[in-house]
Amino acid sequence: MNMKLMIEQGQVWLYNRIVQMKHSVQIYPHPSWIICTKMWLFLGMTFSLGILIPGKLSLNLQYDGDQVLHIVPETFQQVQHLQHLCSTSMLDLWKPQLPEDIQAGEDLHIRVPAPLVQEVKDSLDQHMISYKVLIHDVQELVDESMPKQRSHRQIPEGYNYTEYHPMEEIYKWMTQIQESNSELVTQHHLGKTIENRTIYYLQISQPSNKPKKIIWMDCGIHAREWISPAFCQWFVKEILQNYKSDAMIRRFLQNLDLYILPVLNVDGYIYSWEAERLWRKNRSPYMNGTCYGTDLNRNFNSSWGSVGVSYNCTSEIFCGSGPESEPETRAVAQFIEKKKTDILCYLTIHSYGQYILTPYGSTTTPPSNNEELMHVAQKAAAALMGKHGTSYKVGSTSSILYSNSGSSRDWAHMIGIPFSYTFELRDNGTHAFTLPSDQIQPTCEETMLAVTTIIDYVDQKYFPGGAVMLTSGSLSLSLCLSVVFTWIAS
Amino acid sequence: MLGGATVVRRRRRRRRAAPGPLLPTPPLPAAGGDSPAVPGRPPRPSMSQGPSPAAELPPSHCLPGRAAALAAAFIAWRRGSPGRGPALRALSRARRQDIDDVGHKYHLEFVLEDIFEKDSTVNCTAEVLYHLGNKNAAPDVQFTIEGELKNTDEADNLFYNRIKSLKNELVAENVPDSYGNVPPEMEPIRALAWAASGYVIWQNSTENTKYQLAQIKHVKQVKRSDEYLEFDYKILLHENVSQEIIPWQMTVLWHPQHGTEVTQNSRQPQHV
Repeated sequence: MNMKLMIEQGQVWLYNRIVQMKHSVQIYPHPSWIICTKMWLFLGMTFSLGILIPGKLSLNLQYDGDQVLHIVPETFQQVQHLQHLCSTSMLDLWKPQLPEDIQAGEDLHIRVPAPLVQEVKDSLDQHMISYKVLIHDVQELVDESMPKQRSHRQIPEGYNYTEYHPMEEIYKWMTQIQESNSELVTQHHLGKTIENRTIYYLQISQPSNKPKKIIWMDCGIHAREWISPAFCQWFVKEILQNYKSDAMIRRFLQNLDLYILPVLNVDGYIYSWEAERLWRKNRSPYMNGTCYGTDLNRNFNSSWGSVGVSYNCTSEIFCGSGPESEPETRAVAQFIEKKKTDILCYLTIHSYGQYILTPYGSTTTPPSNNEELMHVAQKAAAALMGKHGTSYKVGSTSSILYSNSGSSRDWAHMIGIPFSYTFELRDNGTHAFTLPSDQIQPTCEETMLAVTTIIDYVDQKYFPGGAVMLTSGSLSLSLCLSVVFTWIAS
Repeated sequence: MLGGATVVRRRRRRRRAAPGPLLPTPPLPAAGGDSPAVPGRPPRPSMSQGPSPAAELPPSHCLPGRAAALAAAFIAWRRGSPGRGPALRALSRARRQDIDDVGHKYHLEFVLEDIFEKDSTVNCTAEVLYHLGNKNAAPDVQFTIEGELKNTDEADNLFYNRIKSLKNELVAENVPDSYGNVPPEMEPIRALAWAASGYVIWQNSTENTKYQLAQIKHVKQVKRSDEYLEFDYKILLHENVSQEIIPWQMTVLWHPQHGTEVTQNSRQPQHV
């Protein structure tokens, strides 16, 4: 029997099945997938994503232990039972295409997910239905026929910014972005995660002999907030596509370097793809590996551990064993500390809730530049609303959200970075963390306007009239020189 | 079962969420002008015997925000159906009264949208009273919807007949999926979960919590001999203040004329 052919037939059948989109509730295709995605990409994607095995297997890319059974029902009762089994047990019918087409005397091939194998076999035995195991382990066959399941998801010229990407693809994207925009973009190593993965940031810098100031933006500090890394990627793309044609971008790139960190919590992000979609923290082991994860946004050295946290590892807001206990936190903090005199703006992107948040979370005492911070945030929210009518709330974390200590944004402001904001992107709760991909574009478009409003304000403030801001050093030097020249001339 | 603007008193004792971490209630904006977030607002009156007059609050403040989320969840339960999922779009106005020995009462004006039709909006007012004394009592909620919600009789009846005529019980998992997708045939199942979770959220809310339905992990229809549809749901609730994802089981009864009833619900253990 040609196992490989069977797998291929299964793939073709998968595609056909999904295109049909019948009444069955086992299949969860989404119309936009069919419209937007090429067939070969789609086949591989559906097969490798295993969308036909929901539940605990839906996030697992493996078919380990899944079996394909061959049955020839003999009686009408057997046909009925098999139809019932197929519908209720979420079995993957390979042949025929639909439960309705199961007939006595005809071949039936069904793929049974591993956890259900025994239960299904027991049920068949109970009903005196004989079966043969056609494929003992589907994953083995998949590995043979498709060694790199995701290899066809390369980043081609047209990287799709309107879908969510796993970490592997984001890494490849960063490399490619640097390669194809090397005059402007460099990729840098920031540090390592607890599971020893590399954290990279991208530096967008217009070559110039003028000293520049810095805008920092990080995304993906919380694993489940997928729209956040999607925005960082979108932002980079927009800047690179428009820096020659857009007057505002051109202007601020003369004076400002943009440092963009697409995914800060790399381990957590991967975990949310592979194991638990709603994971939030990093993957630091505690209590002898019986409990995992520190909330990185409670781990910074800003009134650490004082309010809005838990000291218990099982909590989603566990602040860690001490300020900067986590390597991810240290990687960011050490870098920003080093560059703090040049950083004018610190932005950190989260979801959901639709907020632009100002300092602080750990206290209701307003920051020294609160009026200006609020004014700029309101400008940004207004610009955002102008695009698609989305309304954002503006205010300090402690008054409009909740108390929290150890946040990166509080810490950035406390060490002297004047314009520090947290963004909470779409939506309001209807989809919460699982924002559908058809909202990626409108969310990114409107957020882009808000972020560029802030950058533009900062640029105009510190580099008025396009001139370089005089530092006190250069000012006193020019004063001295003018005195000297006046004296020489006299 | 369902009526117009309803006054709902304390129901049966409901499950409390496990004690949370250090979470003080953020103070309200101070009187006068020292809080830039509230320019020009009337000063907060001092506490006296009996209920204080209602003080205006910025709608962006977290406390009225939580009350509005609770009111919206309550309305979702009372007015939701497989064809309709009322959700909070924006809070326009909020006032608060501190009633000595009773609790905190919020007067809210907000806009609702539909989870499946964002452009379908309606204005609402509500009063939410959080009880000071008995922390285990659900807050009292009264609401008024200005105008009419869209008629969903056709969609509801279609769903009812579809489920009634299924040969095998409906079973589904992960709605929405990781990518936020909900297949069209699952939308009514999701809307029903949205309505039922409104009840669970109402029963378990305090001034320090803000719940949201995050996902349906599993749903299974339970066939009944009477006219009701019954579903057993396992859902995930997201609690915004503690950031916890809380698994919850609920048994839901629905009928086009009788609305949504949660006959049984219980918090499930979180796996580490």
